[in-house]
Amino acid sequence: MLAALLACAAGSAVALVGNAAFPLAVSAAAISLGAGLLVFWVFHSDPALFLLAQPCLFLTWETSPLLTFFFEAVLASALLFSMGLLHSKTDVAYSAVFLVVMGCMALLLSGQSHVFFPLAIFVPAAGLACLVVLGLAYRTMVRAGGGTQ
Amino acid sequence: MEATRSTWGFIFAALGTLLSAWFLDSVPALFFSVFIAGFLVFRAILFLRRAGTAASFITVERVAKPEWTRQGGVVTVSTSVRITVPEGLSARFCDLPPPGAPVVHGQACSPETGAGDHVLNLRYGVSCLSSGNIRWRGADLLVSDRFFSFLLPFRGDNFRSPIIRVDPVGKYQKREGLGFFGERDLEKLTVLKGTGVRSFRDYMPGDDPRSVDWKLSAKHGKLFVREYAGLSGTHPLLVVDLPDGAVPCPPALRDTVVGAALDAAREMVTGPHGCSLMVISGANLLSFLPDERSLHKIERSLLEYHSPQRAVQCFRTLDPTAAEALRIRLSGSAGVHRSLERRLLLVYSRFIPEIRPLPFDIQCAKAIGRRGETALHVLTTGTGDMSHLATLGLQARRLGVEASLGLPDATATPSLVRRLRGIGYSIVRVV
Repeated sequence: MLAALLACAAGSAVALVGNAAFPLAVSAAAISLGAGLLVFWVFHSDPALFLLAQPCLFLTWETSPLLTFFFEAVLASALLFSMGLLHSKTDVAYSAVFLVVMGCMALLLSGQSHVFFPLAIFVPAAGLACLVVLGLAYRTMVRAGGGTQ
Repeated sequence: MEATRSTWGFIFAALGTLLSAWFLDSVPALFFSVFIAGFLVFRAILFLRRAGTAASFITVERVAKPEWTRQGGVVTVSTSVRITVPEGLSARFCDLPPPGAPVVHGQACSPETGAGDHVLNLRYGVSCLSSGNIRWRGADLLVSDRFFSFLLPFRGDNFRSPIIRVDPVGKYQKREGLGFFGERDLEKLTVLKGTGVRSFRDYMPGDDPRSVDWKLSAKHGKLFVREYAGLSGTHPLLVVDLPDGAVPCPPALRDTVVGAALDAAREMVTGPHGCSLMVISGANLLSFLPDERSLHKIERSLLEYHSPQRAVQCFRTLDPTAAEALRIRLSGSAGVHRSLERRLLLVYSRFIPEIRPLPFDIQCAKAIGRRGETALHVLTTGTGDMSHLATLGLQARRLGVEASLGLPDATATPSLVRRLRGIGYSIVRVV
């Protein structure tokens, strides 16, 4: 996970060469790496390393949204792998579906200059996703217990 | 479904970036928010599918020894759980002991297990503090991965077996007696052994091993005990008065009474005459077992009725003899010339010949008046109507039988004890 963080932070800084945000990208990469090393040695937490990489990728969006998505995909895959959640073929297939959906969203968002319109779409979509999760949880409970008491 | 600490970090990050996107009108921030939230939803769906797989492959076999115990007894439980934990998940199984039966030794929860097929064996002991037929509450399976945990409650009938039968416990002091220091033995349950063998009976736990007849036992393949001829003691009648189902009565009171009755019956049944048991609820005779030697039958008739509905109530019932005594007292009094007393006397004179005794009065008279019945022991909760106890006391006094009464500590108020002594019970004590 630390290697993925290093690659993404360095990649985002390199991608911004010649851009006005380059010094900011280098600074963000250095801070993320330093914090990442600290987290790695003091209290190893893969989700924390994943979240620490986000500011570097945030700046990459200015150069290329697809490159940002690629870095995110690398980070998410590394996170799942390091947590032991990417072992079977089913895991890989589900992750691939998730990343394809996210890639489509990146494409959709890259053509937008304002937040309001995509947000108006995503909020109902998030509600639906919550309903799906709750329905699945209820179904699992009922199947397990033959009804709750 | 519960989120782990790192998942909460993801949720806050997603919400933070979403707010930033909204206020700063930043599309990349919106992308990151959607990516992180989508990642959590993707993991949640995957986790629930796997949890469902784990739940559908679980089987539980539970063995409890003994399945029939007394209140406060410890039951040893062996639970064998077969479980298939999918890749990426870990599981923890917890057995849920019956209500009122805390775990006293061992662990009812398994340690956390990783992916694969497992057979978990749990061994623990529960102390049965509540009485009756008690069942397990079921089992809980806690499945978790790095992002979520989920408690699956298994409450179906196949996860609640076996049923443990717990008999209530009470103490029955047979040595309390009459006299200033209690020196006169009232109950005399002990057989004074003679030399000749009077009969044989089945061995029961608690019998003196020296009284086992080994020759007869070897011949029939089960243990027989010799009963010696000799001077036997008095022949007590045990009356158990169960509480009225229509009146609220704390379960502890009923348990105390039934426990004391069981304790007394266990002792009496080994006696020369067996145990004569009368189970009543108010003025309703529920069962009568004269000279019963089978402890099983006695236990069954004691535990068959929990809190029965009293079909007959005998509030304000007047015994014909008591009414006649009242009439005689009234006719002899000085105030008979007043109009009220005269009218009352007239009412009694016309009314008394028509009074028919209640069936309960006849049942009591016949039960107490059996040949050899020389002591009456009544165990009651002391709640609700007491008229039937007065009837019992009266019949005992008429037949010259010593009557004693036991009631729980919680209801043994001084006024009630005084009242019960007044209606014919020579000993009123707390059981």
